[in-house]
Amino acid sequence: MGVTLEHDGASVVLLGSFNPAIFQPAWIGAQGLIRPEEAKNAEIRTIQPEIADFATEWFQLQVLQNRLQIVSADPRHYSALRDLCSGLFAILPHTPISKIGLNRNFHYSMQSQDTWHALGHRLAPKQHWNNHLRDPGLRSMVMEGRRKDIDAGLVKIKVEPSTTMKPGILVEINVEFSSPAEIHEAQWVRACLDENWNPVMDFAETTALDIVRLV
Amino acid sequence: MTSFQDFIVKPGSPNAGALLPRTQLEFMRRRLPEAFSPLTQSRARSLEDSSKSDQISKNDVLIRLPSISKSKSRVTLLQRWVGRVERLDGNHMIAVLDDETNPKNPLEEVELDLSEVSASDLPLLTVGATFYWSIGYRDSLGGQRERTSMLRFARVPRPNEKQIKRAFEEADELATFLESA
Repeated sequence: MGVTLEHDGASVVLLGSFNPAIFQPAWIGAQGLIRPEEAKNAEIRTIQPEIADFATEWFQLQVLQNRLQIVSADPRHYSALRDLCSGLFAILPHTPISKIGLNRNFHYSMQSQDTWHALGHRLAPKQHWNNHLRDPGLRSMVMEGRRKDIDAGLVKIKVEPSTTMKPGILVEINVEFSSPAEIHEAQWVRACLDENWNPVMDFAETTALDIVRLV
Repeated sequence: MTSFQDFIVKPGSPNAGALLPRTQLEFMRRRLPEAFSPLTQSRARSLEDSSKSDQISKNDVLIRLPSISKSKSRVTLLQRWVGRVERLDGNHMIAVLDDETNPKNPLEEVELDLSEVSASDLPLLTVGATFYWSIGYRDSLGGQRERTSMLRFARVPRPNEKQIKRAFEEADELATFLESA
């Protein structure tokens, strides 16, 4: 196939109203959501009223007043990532949250420049551009839609050249869920994660692989 | 479009929904609380004076959001299971595994040595506990490949007394309903 997965990341992003200063490793550890050693050895970049940012061996947490994201680049911990997010809002159930995004990103290295160009041409045929541009190339493409078998969640799939793999491809898959109209507190987030995490992760893996296998 | 880098988030903006993590350094414009310090007020005024065309109000400041750290190694999963502890037997636990790599595979019962469990997870080791078990390769930046087996117990908040009481009440209501049907 000539394509190798080099980097795999997953994240949860929540939009709402947060108090960043709460989200300290010591507090999360005291709630039993991470191991005591992880809380103790977390690398804290900043904890302030407006922003919290720290990392452990397997995840990074960033919180602003209107946004919280937890990121992991270790696929062994993706289930724990879901549990951590779910656990946080089991403890803070009244946090207003309007949207949640479940995300995966994949960096693939390509066997050759030719394969790399072939994928770009396959996704964005150049015949329509050749009249207007010399050497047209695909810089970024975003497709939006819904999964074929499930109506819930708006899907965005982004494909562009990888900045870390040359030649390489980045595929980012984002599935966005909005709070039910009548509920803005965090209770819905736990149900959403329970119901959608595994299907979204599976969908992302299958879809990304299908895209890079187009050539 | 509600994602990606190079995205300036303004509080209250309908576009405040950037749902992909940012992977590079960037600036975000955010409103400070009402009672911010005189020093910050003067900085906000300075920003306003120096760049009126940028439409920064005096309640806005710029925050540099740190980048997402790159992983120091690459992990390739070969197999992953979700396990449930069925019983404890001396230095072993008997667990039922659900194959997440090949979901069509039937459940399997396995016996695992307790030495496989991290010391900090031992307090979670009880009948009914859920754990994640994965086997794969880890490639270091130095090019060394290691085979890894990782077992991690799920950490979820324990229900408080009020929640337990409510669950029992709901169960009683349901039982009453079913008995009356």
